Amino acid sequence: MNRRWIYLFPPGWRRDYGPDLAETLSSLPLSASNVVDLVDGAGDAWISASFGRVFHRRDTEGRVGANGSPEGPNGSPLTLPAPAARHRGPVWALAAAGWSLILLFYATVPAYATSSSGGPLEATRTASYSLAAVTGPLFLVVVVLFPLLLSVACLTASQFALSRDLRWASVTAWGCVGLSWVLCLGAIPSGPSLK
Amino acid sequence: MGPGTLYGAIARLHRRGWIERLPASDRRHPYQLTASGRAVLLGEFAELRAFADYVLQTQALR
Repeated sequence: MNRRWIYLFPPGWRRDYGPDLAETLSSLPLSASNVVDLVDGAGDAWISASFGRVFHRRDTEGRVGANGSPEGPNGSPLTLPAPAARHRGPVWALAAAGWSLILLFYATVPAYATSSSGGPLEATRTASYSLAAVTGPLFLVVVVLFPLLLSVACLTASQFALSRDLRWASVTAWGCVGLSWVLCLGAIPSGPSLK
Repeated sequence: MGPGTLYGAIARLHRRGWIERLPASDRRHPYQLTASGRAVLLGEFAELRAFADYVLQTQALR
């Protein structure tokens, strides 16, 4: 397999394990199962890099001492190092993508409002409205569910007080959810059906 | 085991401090258990053994 497959993995991960993996890949044949396994591993690495502390905490579940520190078997203290690298890029990229969808959705609202008040539909169409008209309910589902899922992921991290950055991401994501629900509940029912 | 699975497992174990990297020799990149990794492994063995004992005792009572 080509060594370039390691670029699927986060930069910090590549720094630590890239040379080893590249060496291994060079001795493996290019096959669908290997590609699927690599993509799956890369996804796991990106998630771990973004929410590493959350999963780290979950992994030690049931082995946490009275003072909150992880314990090994027989109560012996475990010295668990911090994640090798933290990459907040994916989190903020997801948040930015969510915001983009919200803004895209927001741009469709005037079209609904104007048309529901009797204005000519063609005169109020926007690019966003056209996209919504083509994708139909899927557009709304993506717009609503994406920030919701993002916020749940971020809120989980913030509830554990594991990362201040994730807490801000959570606030951002919850803002997305609130805005999207207000827009959906307030504007869509009174608007025309998407066809 | 595929390369993504293998190195995902290695990265997790390494990140938790349960294995450590040894100097590479030729094309081999060996790792070895650390003290805490050994303790965790022995703990897992003990749990599995206790579970197996429980199952065997339960079967013996029937």
